[in-house]
Amino acid sequence: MFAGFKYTIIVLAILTSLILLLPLLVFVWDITQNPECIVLKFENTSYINSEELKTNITVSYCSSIPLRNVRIQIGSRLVEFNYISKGVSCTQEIILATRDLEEGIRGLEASIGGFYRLVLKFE
Amino acid sequence: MWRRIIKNTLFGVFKGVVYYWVFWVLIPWLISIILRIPFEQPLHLAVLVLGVFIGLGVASSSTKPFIGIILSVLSALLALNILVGILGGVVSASIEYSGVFVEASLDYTPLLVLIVGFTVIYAIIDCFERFLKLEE
Repeated sequence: MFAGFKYTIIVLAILTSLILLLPLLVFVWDITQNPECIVLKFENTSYINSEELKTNITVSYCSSIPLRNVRIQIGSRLVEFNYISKGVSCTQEIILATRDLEEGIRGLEASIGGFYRLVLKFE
Repeated sequence: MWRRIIKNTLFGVFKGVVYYWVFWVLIPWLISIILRIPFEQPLHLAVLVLGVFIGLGVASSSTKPFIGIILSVLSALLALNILVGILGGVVSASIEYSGVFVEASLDYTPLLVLIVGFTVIYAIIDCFERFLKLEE
């Protein structure tokens, strides 16, 4: 009696899982095809004093799956971008301690397509 | 009589193997392929899980319908426990990316919630179907 309904549930489960997996598959494919997919640049850097400097951090990204709530940790400083999409460079002016710049990028957090939270910690 | 017992036993074994294959082999394999992270489970645990699934499958199809429903629910709960407890929703790995060692972790809870949700719906429909058969 419920056999048809059960098969429908199974097919629906497979289809919705595939749809939900699609952003992750595309992201993994783009990243593996282009290891330089996420590029961070520090531009127009100028010293405010001996301990602080002002710089523009620019993020460019190659995948067609957008990244949301991107957090980049530079030393002890956290830089946040709400949304990064393909081909669009996002720039933010930040003030960094020289010590933070020396430590470099320590981590990156982002939500792939708003679904999957990715955390990268650089050793 | 014997024919019915053998038929029920074979159906139970089939059901147990299907549960094992879907929740212990297929879903972890798919996740490891997609995320490119190996899932290594000890062999004795795999044999234990297979044994429990087959045991519950055989028992649920051989015992009286009401007890069978409870045992079927237990199979579904074990499957959910494997999904939530062993797969966990977060995978972590140390990878080399552009010459730098990176500690990466990915939270795939939305996908897991979807699979768990469909498993629960399927189990409820299965129980409802058995209850209706029981009333007939």
